Amino acid sequence: MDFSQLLSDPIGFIAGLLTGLLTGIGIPEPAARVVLMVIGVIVVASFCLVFPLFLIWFERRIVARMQDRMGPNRVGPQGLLQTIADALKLLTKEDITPIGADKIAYNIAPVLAVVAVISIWAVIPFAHNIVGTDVNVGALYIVSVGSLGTLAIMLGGWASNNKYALLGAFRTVAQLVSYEVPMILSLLVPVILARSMGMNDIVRAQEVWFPGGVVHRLRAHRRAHLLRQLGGRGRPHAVRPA
Amino acid sequence: MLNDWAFIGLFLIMAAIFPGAPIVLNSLIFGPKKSNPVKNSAYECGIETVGDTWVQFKVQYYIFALVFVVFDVETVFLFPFAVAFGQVGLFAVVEVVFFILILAAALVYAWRKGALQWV
Repeated sequence: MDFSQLLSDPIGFIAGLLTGLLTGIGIPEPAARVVLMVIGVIVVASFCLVFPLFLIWFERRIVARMQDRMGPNRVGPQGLLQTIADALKLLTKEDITPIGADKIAYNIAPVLAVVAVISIWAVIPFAHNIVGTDVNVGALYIVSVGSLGTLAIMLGGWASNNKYALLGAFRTVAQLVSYEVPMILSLLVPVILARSMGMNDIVRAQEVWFPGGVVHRLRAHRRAHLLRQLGGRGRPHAVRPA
Repeated sequence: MLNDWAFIGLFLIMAAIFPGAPIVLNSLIFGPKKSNPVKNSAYECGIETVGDTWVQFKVQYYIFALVFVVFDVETVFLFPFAVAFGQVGLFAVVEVVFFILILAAALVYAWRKGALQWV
């Protein structure tokens, strides 16, 4: 029990506490580690799904203010639960697979698109030492898993038995693919400066008091990356019922 | 190290369950099932689909994709260099510059052949 560890490495501290608790009630050590891992996976994965619920609410409120409207303000305090209500409504809608569509691919494509986005969060550091897992090829993992989304678009367009969807998928894939190489090349810059692909190392290299701090050197790169994001991914929530 | 990849494996499973569960719940339990041929027809602005949808696309598109694959693999080769950048000397940097120059020549060649032209 070391209070300073709680400040410097809170996840490790809590993990140590829980391991002690689990082994204390007679669970063998390896099983306790597996339980901890499952808890960690569930916490990180559900965080990156629950957080957008409120970001969507936030964006809708701000866009509404810009357009001189009120925005969602009825469901829950200040309309905070609006997105949850929308999701529940969508659950009660009929799921249609068009005639002639490839049923399996048509239904897998949206799942794959979300998998590509969620699984990136396994290595994204929220702060130093607060990270799902710190693999030593984190940057490469982000690049490789992130490009699965392109596959999902192609799969969906191809499987839906619709010429417009197919052409749209071809165009979107061509666009995403042409942004991919610049994105990977721009990811090389922090890897060179941090001399590591591990996400924790990259975070540590950005601490301002760190001797080889890279923050000021990264500004130009970050602008380029931001431009790429604006161009590459459209706004998925741009079209939605008011 | 092995623990890390076990975490990622579990994470991938969880990442598939989270978006998959609503789709399964919807189509099996919550969603209404009142299908009819008109509702299930492929939507192409109200006009009947003419011919087969799964047609052969222009071959230039696949050349575009091939060029992409070449340069995507190239960037993967650059990552180990980026990690070792601190230890390797000027020699390795010059070598990587040559590597990129060769690939740039290939890019120029593909460009002049019209492989980057949108079909």
